[in-house]
Amino acid sequence: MPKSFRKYLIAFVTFVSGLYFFLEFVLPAEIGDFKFGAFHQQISWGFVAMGSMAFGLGLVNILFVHGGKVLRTQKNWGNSLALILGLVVMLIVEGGGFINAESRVASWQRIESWRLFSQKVRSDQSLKDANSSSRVEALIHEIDETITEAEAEEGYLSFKRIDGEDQRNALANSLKKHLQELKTAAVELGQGYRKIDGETAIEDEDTAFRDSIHAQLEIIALHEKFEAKAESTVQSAKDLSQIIYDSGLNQKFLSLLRNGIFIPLGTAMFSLLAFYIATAAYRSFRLKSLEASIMMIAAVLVILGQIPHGPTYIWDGLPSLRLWLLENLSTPAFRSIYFGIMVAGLAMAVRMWLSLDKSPLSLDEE
Amino acid sequence: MEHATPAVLALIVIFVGPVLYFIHRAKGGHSIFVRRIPGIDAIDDSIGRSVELGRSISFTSGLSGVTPTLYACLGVLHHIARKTAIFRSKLFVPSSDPESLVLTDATIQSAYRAENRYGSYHPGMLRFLSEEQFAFASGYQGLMHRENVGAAFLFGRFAAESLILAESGQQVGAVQVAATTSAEQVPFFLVSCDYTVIGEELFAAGAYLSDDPVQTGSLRGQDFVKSFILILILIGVAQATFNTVMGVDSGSIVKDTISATWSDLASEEAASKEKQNAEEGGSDA
Repeated sequence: MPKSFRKYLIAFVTFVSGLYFFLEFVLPAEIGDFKFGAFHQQISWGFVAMGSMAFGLGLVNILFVHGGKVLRTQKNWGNSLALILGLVVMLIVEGGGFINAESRVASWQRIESWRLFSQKVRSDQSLKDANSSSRVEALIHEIDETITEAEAEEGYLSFKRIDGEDQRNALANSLKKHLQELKTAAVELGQGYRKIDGETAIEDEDTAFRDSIHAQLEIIALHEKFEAKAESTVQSAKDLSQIIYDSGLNQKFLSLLRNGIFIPLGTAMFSLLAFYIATAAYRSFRLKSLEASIMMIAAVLVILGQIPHGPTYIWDGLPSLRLWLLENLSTPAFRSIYFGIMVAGLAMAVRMWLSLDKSPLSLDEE
Repeated sequence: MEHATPAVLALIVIFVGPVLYFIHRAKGGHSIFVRRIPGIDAIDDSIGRSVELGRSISFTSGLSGVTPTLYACLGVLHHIARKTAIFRSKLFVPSSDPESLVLTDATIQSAYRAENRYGSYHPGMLRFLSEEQFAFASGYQGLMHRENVGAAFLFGRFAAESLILAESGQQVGAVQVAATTSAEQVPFFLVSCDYTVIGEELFAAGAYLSDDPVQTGSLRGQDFVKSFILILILIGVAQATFNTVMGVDSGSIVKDTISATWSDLASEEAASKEKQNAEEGGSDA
């Protein structure tokens, strides 16, 4: 692609994308029946998808820099090897976690689909769907099969009990109970439908109408009962799958890596701040100039106003003085900085949007 | 999704207008004065000192994602990378954001090409350390010590790790220039770095270094916008003072105007039409 064409293409795409987001922000959410941002979520997902590709580039950079060091056994190559090994281990463990999470979700999603199926059958029934009865029979059959599979520890749900794991066993029992209750509710629903189907012709029209209304209400109540039961069964399956997921080897290893190594190391780095603040404070409190002296006096007043000893032993007006310093001197100064940053950011954004700047990325194309 | 109120739309137009006007003027050949910024002046001095001592140079944009701030930082990186290309000095660019990594790499390559030293460019100059804040700080600290950095430039958005980064530069005796849009981190940089560029000066750095009419014109436009904001603040202060002295609570003109939404305007318009119709109906009767 010619470089000049590439330049114009980038400018065009930047302008169109910027225009969309600008209009999405400034226009009202709805102009009559027209919604400008109707597909905003999908467009945002597109950007997220593009951004996620960049993670691969970070990975490539790490492998390039540290892999090269290891292959050439350059100075400190052992550190690079440790980094690469850590990376590979984390990738495997996180990948395993992802697969487990998928199967965990599948375990309760099926039950959730039964609830949605019931809602669909209910709405179709109000449109005089003749197949409602057979659809409910199929639902009962599926619930029955699921219970049989779970008891045999074959399906996506399992009632498997493990010695010593009381919480898991209790949840497995609870799920089994919920599923059986759900089946009962489905059977009752099926009976309700059979009752409607079994009704013979009734001579009196008024009686027929009254019976029909009564039957409809009964069916709705049975559907609602089934759906409520399905909801509690989903929760029960979620709880059980969560505990199975957490007690899996993969999650235990991941927890060790994350909670046992990664987070403590981050916390250790954070704790270094305490020492660095002390040395930095020492440097800033040296009375080198008038500005440094003013800063030191202000800092001492704020510190004394903050700690309980200041008002107790020195002067009880110190907390108010501290607040005055922060609210009337510090805050306005910060705000003025922010105003400048926001205006400069806006100007920079407009220059980027309209591709007015000589881009630092492509000066060689000028 | 948050939507702008009509007043915010008007403000955007008022803010952008002077910027575009002065860019146009600067492009037309009007010279615009940019005041000296010691921190930006110090960039070339720090590079020179580092080159003389045979030490490497580091530049980081901290936790900046792909934002206008990063774009401003890349202008400075471009300048630094051109200098390191000329002096064949070692440059390290530790990064914490994979998305900005690509842009940063393109900037370094562009700078080396501009100086006809692309042969000296090496992808290992760019170091992706970690997205996690303190893992990044830890990696940066190690890099500063291992590579014996002589000049460190910290431009961009920083958070609690700012002091760790700046102190590690102090420990190795590097000349440090920091510029951040994170106002809370400015005090840490002030006490740990040799030069600190505060807030919007970071955005001015590009104009200062390149003398590009678009950037200098934009700077002048920003000054006008800030004057306008100052007037708004003075109106707000005057009204608040008046309300306090007179003991009235009439709300705030500025706040009420800015927060009025499109639907508020539509309902006001509908109400006024209704009123007009009622009046017309009354007069007909």
